[in-house]
Amino acid sequence: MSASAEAQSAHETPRRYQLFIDGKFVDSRSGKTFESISPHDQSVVAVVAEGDKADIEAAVAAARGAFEGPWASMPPGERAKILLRMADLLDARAMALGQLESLDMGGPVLMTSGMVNLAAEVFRYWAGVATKIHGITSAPMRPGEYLGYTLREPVGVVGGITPWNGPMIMAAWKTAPALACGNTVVLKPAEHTPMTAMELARIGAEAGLPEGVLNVVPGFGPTAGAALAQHPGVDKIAFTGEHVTGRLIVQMSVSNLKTVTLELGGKSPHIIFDDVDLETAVANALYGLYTNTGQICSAGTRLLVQESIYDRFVERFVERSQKIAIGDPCDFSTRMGPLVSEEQLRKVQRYVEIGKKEGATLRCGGGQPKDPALAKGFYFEPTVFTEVDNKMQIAQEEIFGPVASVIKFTDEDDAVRIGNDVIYGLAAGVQTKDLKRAHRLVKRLQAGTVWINTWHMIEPNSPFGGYKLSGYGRENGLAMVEHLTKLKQVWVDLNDFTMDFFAM
Amino acid sequence: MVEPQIEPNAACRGLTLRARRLLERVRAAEAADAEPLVLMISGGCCGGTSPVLCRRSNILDGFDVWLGEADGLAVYAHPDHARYLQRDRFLIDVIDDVRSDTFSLEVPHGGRFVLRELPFT
Repeated sequence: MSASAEAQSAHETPRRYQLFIDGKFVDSRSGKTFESISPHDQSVVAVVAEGDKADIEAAVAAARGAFEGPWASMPPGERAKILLRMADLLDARAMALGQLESLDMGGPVLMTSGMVNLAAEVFRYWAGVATKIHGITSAPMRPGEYLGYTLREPVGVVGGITPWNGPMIMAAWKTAPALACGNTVVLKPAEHTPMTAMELARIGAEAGLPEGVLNVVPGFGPTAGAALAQHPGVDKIAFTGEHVTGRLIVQMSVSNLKTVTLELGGKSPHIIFDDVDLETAVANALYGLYTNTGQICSAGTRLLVQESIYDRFVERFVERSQKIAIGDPCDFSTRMGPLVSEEQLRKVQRYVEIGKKEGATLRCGGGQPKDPALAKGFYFEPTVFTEVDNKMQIAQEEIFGPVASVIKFTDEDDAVRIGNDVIYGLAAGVQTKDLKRAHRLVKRLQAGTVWINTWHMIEPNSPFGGYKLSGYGRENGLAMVEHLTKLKQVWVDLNDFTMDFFAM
Repeated sequence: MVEPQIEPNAACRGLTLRARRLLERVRAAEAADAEPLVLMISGGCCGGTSPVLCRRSNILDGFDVWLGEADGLAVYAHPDHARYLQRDRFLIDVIDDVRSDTFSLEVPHGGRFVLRELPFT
């Protein structure tokens, strides 16, 4: 393979990345760069070109040119072949790309390399969809007199703004479906974690994407991100991030009434009934909460535990939380790496202060680990608050860290009331052996995803998105085709006579 | 510097000195007729609760909830979010690392606003 990830070992740094516009790696027009640092030891892992409005303008122009040029006229089967090649290249480089992502973001490489494989599956899924996007034949009210049918046409230029917590998988979600539907893309990856999105640009070029079809412009939100959201030449924006920025994007989108889809986070209830196997329930709760150091929008951060097993559950959950293998994210034995940044560390520390002030009981964690090997990193201990009231801020606000709020409930109605009493509605989960109860709760929980006896199941064919302030629109699954195409109705008159309404 | 007047029950108890200086840098770079800046408290994916510097016209009058004002900078939140924030007591502070997923307008000026917790009063 060429000058891509595998050519450089994990700790050979810093790497240099340019913007990728119109099929070429280029410096930003301003000449500015920014550094990406390792949350493990604050070393500089990459120096990255910093795009702003002028670079976004160039990227949108390139994307428009490609949309009106080679990409639109390419048969869907050819587009599918390119997407399949991208999937194969992602799989072939999964280990190296996982290492890059672990350096940049801090997630353990066991997870980040797996996420690259999942990104490959996203491309493979959408390669299959590319040849199956079509309209329908309308059912005429007067059969034989006319023919009606619909066409599904690509929306045009799609902008994607991704967060730092899953750089490659988010880039895949924002890119593969848009390309499969015949659109071209301008992607602005998160400032903390730009490296793997730039590697995706390289993979696209190697796989044969025509120039301008995929453009990647790292940069900052108020400059590059806002320029993309406001741009009248962008037909659709997909954003994952916090809810005020989501709202700003909606306000900016009125420039050309572009379509917007938003995924804005959650505070998901993980409801654990007393008929569960305790060890399984604890393992699911740990996985739902601490994966990626709690930095997943759909994390099960509110553990709602039935009162009859509350004490036993808490005891075992705390015990297991304290044994989690924290360490260098590039080490395969690590299960939990650092938080992504100083900002994130400060926010998590603030919530621990709030939790104490509000009167919750801090059962473990609450600070940075004592291990001197981790002293330079943004590490934080698995933290468990018990006796949490759902009205507390630690139960209401997304902390985005390894912090559990364990809340007691009495019965099914109580669990639903507490579970839904939050501004978000991204995910929810139920652990019980009672199938009828589980499905009753599925209907009553206000969330875009409900997991039964599992957590974090996310696949390319299954829609993911939120209710309430978690946003609107879905990622993954055929529902996305609705967001990424426009519908055209075609009418054909089959009558042999002239319908002359103004004949008199 | 004159101490700002803080409403006794406001959740936002003001800006730290570093936050004031960052705000001054943003204002100094503004056009004379620029629309007033405000802070909106955000939350959710990847940020947790954090301030977003935006324009007065981004606020929905009669809907968003006022949480305090300092140095001429009004602070607002979505009403469902404000239910909890109103009980909180915080200062607006700054960190140097500007890498953040936000559209907050201070980012190009060399700092990122964050909340700093104060004891309940």
